[in-house]
Amino acid sequence: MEHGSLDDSSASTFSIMEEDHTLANSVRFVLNQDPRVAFCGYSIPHPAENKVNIRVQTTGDPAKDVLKDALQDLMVMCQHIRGTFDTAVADFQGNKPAEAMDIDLNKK
Amino acid sequence: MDRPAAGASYQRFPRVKIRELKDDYAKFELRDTDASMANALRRVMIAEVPTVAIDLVEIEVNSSVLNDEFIAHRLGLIPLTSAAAMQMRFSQDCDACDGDGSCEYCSVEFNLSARATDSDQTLEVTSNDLRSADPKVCPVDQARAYQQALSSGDYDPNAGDQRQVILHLITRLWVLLFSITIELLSYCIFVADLRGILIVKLRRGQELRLRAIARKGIGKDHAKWSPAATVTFMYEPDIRINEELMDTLTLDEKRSWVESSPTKVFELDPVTQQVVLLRTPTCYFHGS
Repeated sequence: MEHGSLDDSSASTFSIMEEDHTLANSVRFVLNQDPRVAFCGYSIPHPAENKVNIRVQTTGDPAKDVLKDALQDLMVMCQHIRGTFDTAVADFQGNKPAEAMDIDLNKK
Repeated sequence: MDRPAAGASYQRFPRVKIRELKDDYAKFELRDTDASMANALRRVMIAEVPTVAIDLVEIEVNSSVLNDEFIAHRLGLIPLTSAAAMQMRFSQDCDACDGDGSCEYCSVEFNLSARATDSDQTLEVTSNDLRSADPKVCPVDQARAYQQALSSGDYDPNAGDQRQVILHLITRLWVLLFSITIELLSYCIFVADLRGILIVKLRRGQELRLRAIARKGIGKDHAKWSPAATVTFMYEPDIRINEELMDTLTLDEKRSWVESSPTKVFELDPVTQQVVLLRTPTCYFHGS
């Protein structure tokens, strides 16, 4: 949910349930790369509760659009890492087929 | 650097390079990204990758020295091969079962039946005694022993010591020159011991019979579902030699300086009489 003021949409706090540092720190990093962001940070109100508050203040654009873009960028980045990793594994397996790998039931 | 188009951000595209990869060990470098991405990867690897582990145990007979819940706890901690975990559904999401959360889509059944015969020897009930209904999901050391028997025909039970698996993940920011190495340790398995993971020991006349159901889960719920033994990451050290100061040392002083380092970091180039870095900095903190 979003806490903000009615007339100023460029600064608001987003409260996300069922999340923790895993998502919040990565989103904070991606938000910091965005030139539209004036301030961003996150906090965990209480460690026992699975809630995280992300604060975004922008230079004019609505904060929730900026957050949406940041989450989208993060998703693309993760997909990119996944693709790169798969390629790297395939390359590695191609170059050193026998010695590095053990035959494993777990490999798909 | 020039400003990007309106709305676009300075999105970085990280690069991955694998250093070592075994079935229970991986070491890789991650570049052009930040510690937060590396840490997020680490956290997800520990807590949110789904695996399969025994979750529900129905005990018919237990006359061993350990009580029922003790044995159930130990059964839960046995690692099972989880390649099928991605196709399985979580028990709470499954709509095909008849309410008790144990249909073929969301669970795997195991049986264990052991009775100590009337000899004086202690019977060790191990994970090898667990019989799975689905051959794809079985205790990891059963799978490993089966693989070894298949591949080598006659395996040597004394081969190898405890194998540690380390995944190094090195991240290097393209602006700053520090790098992060991430170590991932998954499955610390004793290759030498092919008797299986010990569950309980039975004396003459004691019996253990049970039926166990394994379900899909994530490490956040219980550590038995965590696939990784250790994940660590580390910044790659950036070592620069101050050449001016180095030139003020004599050759003997340089030699003793090179030898004073506990791990072999530098070497003295005999031709130019200069101290140079021996290898890439990421090799310094090998555990293996």
